[in-house]
Amino acid sequence: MREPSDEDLMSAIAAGDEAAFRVLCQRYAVRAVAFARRFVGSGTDAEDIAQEALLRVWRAAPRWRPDAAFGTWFYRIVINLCLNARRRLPFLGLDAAGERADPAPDALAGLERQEEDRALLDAVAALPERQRVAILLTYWEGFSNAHAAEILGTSVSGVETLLVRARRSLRLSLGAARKEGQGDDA
Amino acid sequence: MTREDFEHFLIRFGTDVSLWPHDTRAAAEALLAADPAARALLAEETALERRLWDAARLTTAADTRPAQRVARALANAPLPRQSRRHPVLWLPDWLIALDLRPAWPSIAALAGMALLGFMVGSSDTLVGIGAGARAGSATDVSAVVFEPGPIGEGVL
Repeated sequence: MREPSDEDLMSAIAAGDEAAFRVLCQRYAVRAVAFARRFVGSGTDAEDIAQEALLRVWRAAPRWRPDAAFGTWFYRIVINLCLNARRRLPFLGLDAAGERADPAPDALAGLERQEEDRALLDAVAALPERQRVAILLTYWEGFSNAHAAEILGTSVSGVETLLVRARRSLRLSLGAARKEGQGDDA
Repeated sequence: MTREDFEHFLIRFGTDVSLWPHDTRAAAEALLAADPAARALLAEETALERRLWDAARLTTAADTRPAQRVARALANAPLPRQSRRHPVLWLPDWLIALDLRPAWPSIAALAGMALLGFMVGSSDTLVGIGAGARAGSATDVSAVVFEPGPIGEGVL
């Protein structure tokens, strides 16, 4: 049997179907937590954001119009909640930069990899908000520039400009971090 | 093609120049052949892109465990009442999710109150001014405003 699409689930949720809502929660909770954690830097806040975003979906479902894909709408809600949370709280630094599912056999190489991941995530966290959202949507969520533009409410060239600026900043900060690391080693 | 154009195309088409559309690829290859800084940019962008994709593929328990908690909490707790007000067609979807309702009834009420207040206030003033005008210079407003009263003098 075909899996119900997000939009099918939303139609059922709009009619008050709690089972359909649970399926949607299973589908989107991890995406919302992962996005929010990388945006706000705190697992606890990310959990709150994901829960609030899904509750808003439940509450607003009868008023939802399928003009855009559900995912686009959902990410907008998550992003808005992240922005509100960031205005309330400073970035706390990621709780766990990466517990790899497939750790390298060599422990030292694994540690180096984790350090690199942490440096990258810290550099992403230091980006201005819109640039950070653009990077998270295109790389972590794997969205096309066009889809990211729809979520951000801007044009594709607007997203491209955000990505160009973000990647310039990342190249600079990661280059500086690498030089510092080499300086420490010397 | 300038280096800046090249940087934008890297975002649009990715760092594998061989996959770019034919005309753009030819211009990019000419730039890469002539400009060492463009070659350095391509090398840095390729390395950065690989790191970003690598980091993005991380599966972390820090994401899955809280997500499971969220899903469990939402499955077990009683859900709030759904908003069944009529959809507001001109509001964007994400604003609907914020559960905003149209503000125009309250704004109209506020504007009505303000208008009423203004009318009452101005009719009073007009009556006052009319009466003052009829009474002559005894109720000269400027005299009341500019002549310091005894309290003012005491304070100064």
